[in-house]
Amino acid sequence: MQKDPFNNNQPFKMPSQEYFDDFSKRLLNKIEQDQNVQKPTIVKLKTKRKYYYMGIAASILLVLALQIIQLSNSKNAFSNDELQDYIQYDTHLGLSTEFINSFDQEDILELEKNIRINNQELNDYVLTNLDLEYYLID
Amino acid sequence: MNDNHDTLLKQLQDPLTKHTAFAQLVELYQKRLYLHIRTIVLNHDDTDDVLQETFIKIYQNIDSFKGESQLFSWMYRIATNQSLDFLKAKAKKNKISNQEINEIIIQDLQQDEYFDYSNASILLQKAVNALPEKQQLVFKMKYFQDMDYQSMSDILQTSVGALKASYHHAVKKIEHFLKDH
Repeated sequence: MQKDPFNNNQPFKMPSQEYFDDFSKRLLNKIEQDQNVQKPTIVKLKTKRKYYYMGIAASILLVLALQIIQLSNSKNAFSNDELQDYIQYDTHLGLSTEFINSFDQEDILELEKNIRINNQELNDYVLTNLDLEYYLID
Repeated sequence: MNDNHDTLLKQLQDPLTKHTAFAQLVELYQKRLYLHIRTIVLNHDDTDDVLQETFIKIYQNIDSFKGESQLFSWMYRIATNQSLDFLKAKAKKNKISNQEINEIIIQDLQQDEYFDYSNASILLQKAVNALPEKQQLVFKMKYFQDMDYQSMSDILQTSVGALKASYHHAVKKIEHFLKDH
């Protein structure tokens, strides 16, 4: 833009040279002041921002880790009913006919020897836990 | 002149010479930018504020200036945007429209020592103020500042054809306004 933009149609007059000299001084002073104020602040903000991002990253990792642990726990946890059904209907774990037939008298005696039955405990268990009526009717 | 601009731009983008080169830039362009801003915001004190903000923005963003347009056009664009933003903020603060805020400022021009006051000049300002924002800008840059269409196109990033059409419409509307008042 080399053309002089000031022409006769311009209704606004140019302020004095003193005004522009003063304007330059004020402007350059302000820029210098702003720079002095901004310099330490910029460093501080960057440092804060670094810790801020690190904090966010750590929080995300923590939340993910907790979710993974919770998920693996929930996968391993069986309810009592599930466990009972599993043992009852899974032929590998249940007492198959073959398994029972393979037991002979010797095995039973060996088993009885190994299991020490406390008579008092057995009586207590039967009296408190078993529905005797059910067996008597049957 | 272009070589001088290139040298000045290099100095502005070099941290070691930036401050001195910027003082030179202010010296070169403060008067032209003053009149450009003044024709938009109308009031001298407001112009002083906007001119300062414009130069601060230029100082802050000169490092990212890639030279895709002329330095002067880029500075004019910043000044134009700053002026329009200033008027919008002022109108919003006073809870009135841009046009209404300008009407108030035009009334005050009678006491303005830097305004060539006459009934005709005030009437012309009122006629311009009645135009849509874009037409106001085009008219002010063409009529008051005698800027060529190519420079206006670079600053406003609008085609020369569209600017000519806009100026034509603005002149017609102003003629109607002056006939009616």
